[in-house]
Amino acid sequence: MDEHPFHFSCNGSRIFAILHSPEQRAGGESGKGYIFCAPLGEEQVRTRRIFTTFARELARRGSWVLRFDYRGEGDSDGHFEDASLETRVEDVRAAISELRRRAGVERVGLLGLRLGGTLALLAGAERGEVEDLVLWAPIVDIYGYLYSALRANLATQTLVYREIRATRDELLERCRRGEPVNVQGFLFTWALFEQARAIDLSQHAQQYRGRSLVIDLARSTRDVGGDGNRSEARCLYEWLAASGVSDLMSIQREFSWEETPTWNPRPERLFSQTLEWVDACRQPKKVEYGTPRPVSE
Amino acid sequence: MEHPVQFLSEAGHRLMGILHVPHGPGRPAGYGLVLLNIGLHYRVCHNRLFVKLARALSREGYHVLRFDTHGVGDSEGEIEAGSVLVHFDRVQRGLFVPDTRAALDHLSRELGLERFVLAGLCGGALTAIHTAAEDRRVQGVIFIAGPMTVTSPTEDREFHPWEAGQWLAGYRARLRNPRAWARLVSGKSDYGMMVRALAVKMHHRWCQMWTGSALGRPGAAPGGHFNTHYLDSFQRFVGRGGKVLFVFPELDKTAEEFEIYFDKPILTQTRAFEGKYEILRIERANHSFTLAESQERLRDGVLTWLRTA
Repeated sequence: MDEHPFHFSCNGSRIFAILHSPEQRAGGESGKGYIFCAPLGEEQVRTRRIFTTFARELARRGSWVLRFDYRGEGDSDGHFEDASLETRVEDVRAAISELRRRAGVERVGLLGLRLGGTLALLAGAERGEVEDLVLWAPIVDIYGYLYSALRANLATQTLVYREIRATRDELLERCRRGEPVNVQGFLFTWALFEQARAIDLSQHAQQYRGRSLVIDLARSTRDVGGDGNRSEARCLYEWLAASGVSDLMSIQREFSWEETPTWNPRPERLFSQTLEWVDACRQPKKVEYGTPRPVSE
Repeated sequence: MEHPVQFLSEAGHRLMGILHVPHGPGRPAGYGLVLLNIGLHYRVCHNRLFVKLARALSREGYHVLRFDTHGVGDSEGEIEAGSVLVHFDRVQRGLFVPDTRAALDHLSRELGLERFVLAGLCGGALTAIHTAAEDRRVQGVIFIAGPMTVTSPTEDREFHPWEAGQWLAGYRARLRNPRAWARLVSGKSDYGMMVRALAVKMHHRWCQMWTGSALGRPGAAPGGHFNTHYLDSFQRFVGRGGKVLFVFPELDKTAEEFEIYFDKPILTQTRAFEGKYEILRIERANHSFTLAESQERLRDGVLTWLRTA
C-alpha cells in the first residue's frame, strides 16, 4: 500500500489529507482519481475506517484516492464552529486541485457519505470537471438533518441537568442570536443552519452533467427498494436523472454512523455494488442501469 | 506545529499518527506524551477531544503523539468485523500494548526521548496502564474514564444500574412533552428498554436495602466482574515508582465503577499506593466530555498534574 499523509493549504489553513496511489497501473486507470468527502462531526469519527478500507480497495484497482479532513474537523486546522457548508465546499474544491497537482489525473470523481455526499454534489455541480459522483446515503434535506441532530443536545441536557431546559426551537433561536449549539461536542453555528436553508439541492443536482450513483442505505430489508420508498436518496436520484446519467441502488445498511454494538470496517454489499458501478464506468460503452436495483440479501 | 508520522508496529503494520511538537512559550518538557485511542475509535477521539488536548499540550512544551492502532483509523492491519464488546474485551486485556510500545520506540528513535507519559480514555486508559506495567520508559499514566469491570463476550451485556438510572431520568424529563406521549401511545417507544431499566433499578434498590451491597447483586463482592488484569498492571506500575492521574467524569458509569470496585475497597485501603496517584473528578462531564467546560477542566487538570507530579 502506498499511502502518503500530508497537509495542503486552503485559504491560509492547513488541511490534512492522505493520498492513496494506484497499485496496478497496467490495465488500470491511473488517469482517474477520487476524492472522498466525509460526513459531519461525530459521523466522520465513526465511519473513518470504512473510508480507509474503501480507498484501499479503489487504489488496488488502479485509481488514485485523496481523503481529507474539512477545516475544523479531524486533523485539519481550525475549529468546527468556524467552518460552514461554504467552507466545506471550498475544501472539496481545494482537494480536487490538490489531487490534480499531485497525481496528475485528468478525470476526477467524488465519493461522499451522508452530508459528505451532499457536499460532493454541491462541489461537483459547480465544476464541470467532475466526471463521477458516488453518493452513499446522501442528505437531501440539509436543514432537517441539522435540526434533527439537535436531539443530541437534548440528550446531553437530560444527562447533565436531569431535565430539558431548552427545546430544539429554543436552541435554534439562541443559535440565531449568536450562541452556538453543542451537538455531541461539536458547536453548530447559525451560519450552518442559514446556509442549509438557502440551498436548493434540486437546482444543483440538475446543473450536474456527469454520471452519478446514488445509494440508499436502508435501515432494514423491509425498507430496501420498493415502489413506496420515497427516500431522500430516491428524490436526489430523480433530480440527477432529469439532467444526466444517474443510477439508484437501494441496499440494506451494514454499518452505522450512529453508536453501534457492531464493528464493520468492510460493508461488503455497499463496496461490491459501488465497485461494480465504478468498473462499469470505465467501459467505453455505458452500462444501462437506469432503474433502481434493490439488493436485499 | 504538527505533522503526520508513520512507523511500523511489532507485527509489521504501518501505523499512522500525528506528532505535535512544542511551539509555544513553554520550555520543552524533556519527555513525550502519547494519547491512546478509545477502543476502535481513531486518533482524534470523540468530538476531536485529543486534537484539542494535544494542541494545548504542545503549546505548553510537550511533544505529543496521537496514533491509530492496527486495524483502526488510517493504520494498516485488520480488526475483523464483529461485536464491539468482543473486541473491547481484547482491548481490556492488552490488545494494543505492542502497538503502543512501537510508538514509544518511534519517539525514542526519532526524537531521542526516553521518558513518557501515556494518556488514554476508556479502553485507551487500560492500554496505557498495561503498557506502563511492562515498559520502564513510562513514568506516568493519565487514566481517563477507564472501566474497572471486564466486558466478557461470553455473557450477555450487563445493564448497569447506573445506566438504568440514566434511562429512567430521561423518561422522567420527557413526561411533560406531548410528543413523547404521542410516541408512547403510537407504539414507537422502546417498551422493552423501559421495563428493563425499571426492573434493574428496582432490583438494585432491593439489593441495597436487604444486603447492603452497592453492586446490585446480593452477596457480590469486588472480584466478580472486576478487571484483575488492570489491578495487576496498576500494582506493577506504581510498585516501580510510576505515577497515575485518575480522571473521572461525574456523569459516567466508570466513575461509579471506580469508586465501588477500586477506590473504596482497594486504593484507599492500601498503604503502598499512597502518594502514587491523584484523582480528578470532573463535574457535569460525561464519558466523551461533550461540554466545552468539561474539556477545559480536563485540559487544565492534566496540565497541572504534569507540572507538579
